[in-house]
Amino acid sequence: MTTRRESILARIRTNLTGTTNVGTRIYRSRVEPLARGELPALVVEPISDVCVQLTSAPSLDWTMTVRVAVIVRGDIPDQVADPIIESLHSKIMADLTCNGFAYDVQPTGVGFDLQEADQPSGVITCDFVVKYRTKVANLAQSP
Amino acid sequence: MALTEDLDIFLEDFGVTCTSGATTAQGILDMPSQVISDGMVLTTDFTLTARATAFGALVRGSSITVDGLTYTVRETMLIDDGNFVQLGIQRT
Repeated sequence: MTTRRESILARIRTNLTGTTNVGTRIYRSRVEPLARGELPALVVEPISDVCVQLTSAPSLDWTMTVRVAVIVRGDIPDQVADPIIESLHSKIMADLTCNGFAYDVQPTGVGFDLQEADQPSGVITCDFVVKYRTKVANLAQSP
Repeated sequence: MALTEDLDIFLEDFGVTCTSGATTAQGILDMPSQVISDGMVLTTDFTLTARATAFGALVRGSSITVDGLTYTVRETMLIDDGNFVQLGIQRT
């Protein structure tokens, strides 16, 4: 069985297919750096996943922070990233249940890391929280 | 006795021909790879070392040809006693 966490991450990755300007360069938790010729690109990765157990119900309520990093090159990196961010945001927010695995998705913020490089580089991080539930003893099943 | 330095000797062995505007001089090009942005981006740190009298006045956006390839200046930094300059450059 696959945990709800992994199912949600995989679904978000799938939902991002067709994001403006990134082609097939959408990666799950890629840890290798991206070269100039591989950009623009998206990297989808989990940042944290915390839970609370409600004593009145035998379930765990999870809040997972998922980051979609937009990596671009260009004279004004955040400007290059703008249409990509607009596109990915609408794709993620169009499936608030992640194909039935979650009960809500909420954007929480955007971060900008702009750096000089052989061409100006930008990593713009779009963070979302995904809320979902599992059984107490089984991370693959909903209560 | 005062020591007379010939600074061009520093560039003689590894220097390549560089041209910006009407100025042509020797410079040493280094291009190590570098990982930035918390490990997410792989880049090349193009750095040109040359005589300050030749290229010390270049500013961000200036064009320079190094060994036949065109680059754009990112920043110009004097080093040591100011006789040499290091140019951060990017491929145009």
